[in-house]
Formats: sequence, C-alpha cells, structure tokens
Amino acid sequence: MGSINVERLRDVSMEDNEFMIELVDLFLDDMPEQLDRLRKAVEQADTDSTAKAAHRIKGAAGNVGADRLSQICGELEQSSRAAEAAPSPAALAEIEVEWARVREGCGVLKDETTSGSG
Amino acid sequence: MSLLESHGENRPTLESKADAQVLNALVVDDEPSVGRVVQRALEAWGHTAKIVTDGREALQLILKERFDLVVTDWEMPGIDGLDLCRRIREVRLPGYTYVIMLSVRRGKTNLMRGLSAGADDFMAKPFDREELRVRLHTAERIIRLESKLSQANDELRGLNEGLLKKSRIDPLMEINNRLAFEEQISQFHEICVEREVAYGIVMCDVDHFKRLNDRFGHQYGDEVLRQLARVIRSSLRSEDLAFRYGGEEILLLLYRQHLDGAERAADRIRQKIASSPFPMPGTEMSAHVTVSCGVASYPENFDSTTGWMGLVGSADQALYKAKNAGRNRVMTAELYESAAKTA
Repeated sequence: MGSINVERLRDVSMEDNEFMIELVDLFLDDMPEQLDRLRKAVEQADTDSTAKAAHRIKGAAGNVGADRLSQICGELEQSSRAAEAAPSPAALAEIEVEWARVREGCGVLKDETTSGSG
Repeated sequence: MSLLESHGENRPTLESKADAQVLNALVVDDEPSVGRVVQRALEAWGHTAKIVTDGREALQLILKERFDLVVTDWEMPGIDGLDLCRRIREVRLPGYTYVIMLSVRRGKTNLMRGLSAGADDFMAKPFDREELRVRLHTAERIIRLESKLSQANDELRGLNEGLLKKSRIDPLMEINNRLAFEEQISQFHEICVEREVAYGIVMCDVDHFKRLNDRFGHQYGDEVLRQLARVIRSSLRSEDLAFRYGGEEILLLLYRQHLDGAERAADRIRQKIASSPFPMPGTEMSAHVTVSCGVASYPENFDSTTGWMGLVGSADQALYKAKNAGRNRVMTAELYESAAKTA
C-alpha cells in the first residue's frame, strides 16, 4: 500500500474509520472525471488544460495521502505551465499506472478498515 | 466539599465555553474530499459549516445567509477564490466575513495576491487540520473584535442621534430652541416659496415677565413658561412650528397663513393665555399672565433684499408696537409694497 500515505489519511479522517472510507469514496468517485479531462487535454496537446487538470488531481490526491500521484501530477502541471513542450504521453502513462496502484491501495485499505472494525 | 469539587471541575470548562464562539462557516472547494475534510474539522470544533463546490454557488449563498468564516480554495472553475474574495469585499455584508484561502500555491507572490484580493489569511494545501485550528484563534479574535466594534458603533450612532435631537429642544418649554430655528427657517422659507404657499411669523413675548420673576421667584417664572408652552403647543396645528427664540420670547411659524390668518391665530393664542390659570404650586394663588404678539407674513411683508430675516425683524417691530400700545394685544407689521418702493 505504498501508493497511499495511510498516516496522512488517518490524520485528516481524525481517526474516524467511517469518515476515512467516506473520504476515500469521494476521492474515488471524483477521480475518473478528472482523469478523463487530463487524457483529453494531453491528447489535444493543450498545455493550459493539461496544467489545470493535473493541478486538480494533485490537490485531490494530496488530500487523501496519494502522495506519489500528487507529486507526478504536480510535475506535469509545472512543465505544462512552463510550456516547455507539448504534454508528454509518457507522463500521462506514468500517472495512469500510479492511479491504478492508488485505486487498488484504496480498495485494500477499505477492506482492511471494514473487516478490522466489523 | 461537594461545592469545592464542582467548582474545581466546572471552572475551566465554563471559561472556555464563555470564550468559545460558534462560527457559521462556508467551505468552498471544487474537490469534494477536501471540502469534506475541512467541514468535518470545523464541525469537530463546534462550528457549523456548509460546503459548496464553486465560487458562483458560494456567492449566492453568502448573499442569502450570514457567514462568519469562509474557507475557500484558490483554483476553481468559474469564479475562483481570488474573485470570490474580491466580491465578498465589494458587497457590503452585515458583519465581518473572515476569509481563509487554501491553495497548493506557495511563495510570497501568491500569498500577496491572495491577501490583496481581500483574504484575511492564507493556508497551504494539503490541508493541515492543526494549522487551521491555530489560525482559527486569530480568526475568532478578529471576528469577535469586529462584532464588538460594530456594536459599539451602533450604540454611538444611536447616542449621537439622541444628542442631536436633544440639543435642539428647549428642556424647560419642550419646544424647539434657537439653534433649531437657525437650522430650519431657511429651508422652511424655501419650501413655502417653491410651493407658493404663504406663512406667518408670530413673535410672542410674555408681558412683565421680569416683574413676575422678581415678585414670585424664578421657580415660578419657569413654571409660567412651562405652562405657556403647553397652551401654545395645544393651539398649533401639526404643520406649525414653535421655537423658544429668547428668554421669554416664543417664535411661531404658521404654515399656509396669510397676514390676516396669522393675526387671528395669534390673537386666539393670546386670549387663551390670558384666560388660563397659572397656579403657584403649593398655594391657592394664580398670577394673571398675558402675552403681546407681533405678526408678519410671507408674502405680504416680504422684501426679497432682506429675505426671511427681514420678516423676523418686521414681526419683532410689530411686537414692539404691541408692547407700546399697552400689551396683551396682537399687532401686525406694515405691509411691504414693492410697487411703491420701486416706483
């Protein structure tokens, strides 16, 4: 579960498991739409939209302790804002991989939390 | 023993309760999980908090409901956090709205942009609960101060209005005083001119007032003036005005009265006073009090070169004539004939 900083998540949940699951669900529900925006922006080589979409994911991920996802989105935001080059599909691929890990990590975390408290 | 115990236990919580404020907060963030975390933290500290996910919605809600605190994200689609801050400061909301801006943006430039837009405080994301808790101390202090200030302001404004009113009323006769006259006469005159409406000025003076004071004392003199004012007030219509112009001199402004009408009104008041008892408190005695009146009116006695001041002078001269003619009577001013003068 290296994809999720559990300490951060427990902290913002104020040690309340139910609330933690609520937050994780809010994050999981919100993410597909944000990733879609990012994919489209990268596909269209739109640096401004890429920066905005990456920024949005950075914040949401950071909030629930998906630190690595937050970090690589931040890097994509930076490079897109600087408009050094068109957004690279490689960066997007890296984000997709990390997102898959985060989603899996969230699932495991939820299972552990519910079975532990049940 | 039980008393001591309860004292020891209750005191700190009582104090902290007296200190604690329940803030009504609005959390604005387009990331639902972030908004929820902030809301949950605020609620855990005893505050109430609502969440909206964009600036437009926030603004609509702020105009409808009073919020002490707004915690807003910077980057949002539509109206962003900066815009929201500016609009909150533009619209004059009742009470103070303390705004904390939350952003992943860092650095002095961003901090300054946020504060210049009208934010009170700036917090870096990811959201840190402890940091918000500490920053809320400042927020609470400022919100409390602001509410005390506006309360004090309201009180002062009320006091001021009261004083303004009081300073224009004669405490003895309970009618307008000379200051009120100076302030109101030119406006009164202009209104009458503009509406082409006549008005009368009656200068009314108590006969032999000094003798009355000397013989029966100043306390009785005051009582006479009080009673006199009561008689006059009860004789006037709501559109007329009475002023204590001098020591025992009362000036009346009679709306929509030509010279003859003002003269009749003055004479009615004169008769009423002459037939009113002025009892001496604690005795069976009652002095016979009379007044003399001089009357002038607009437009009959009006001279545009001297204006309303000339009218007051004419009424005063008429009063002088009434005194010389034996008192307890009403005299009118000489008609002003502009045609004769210009000829």
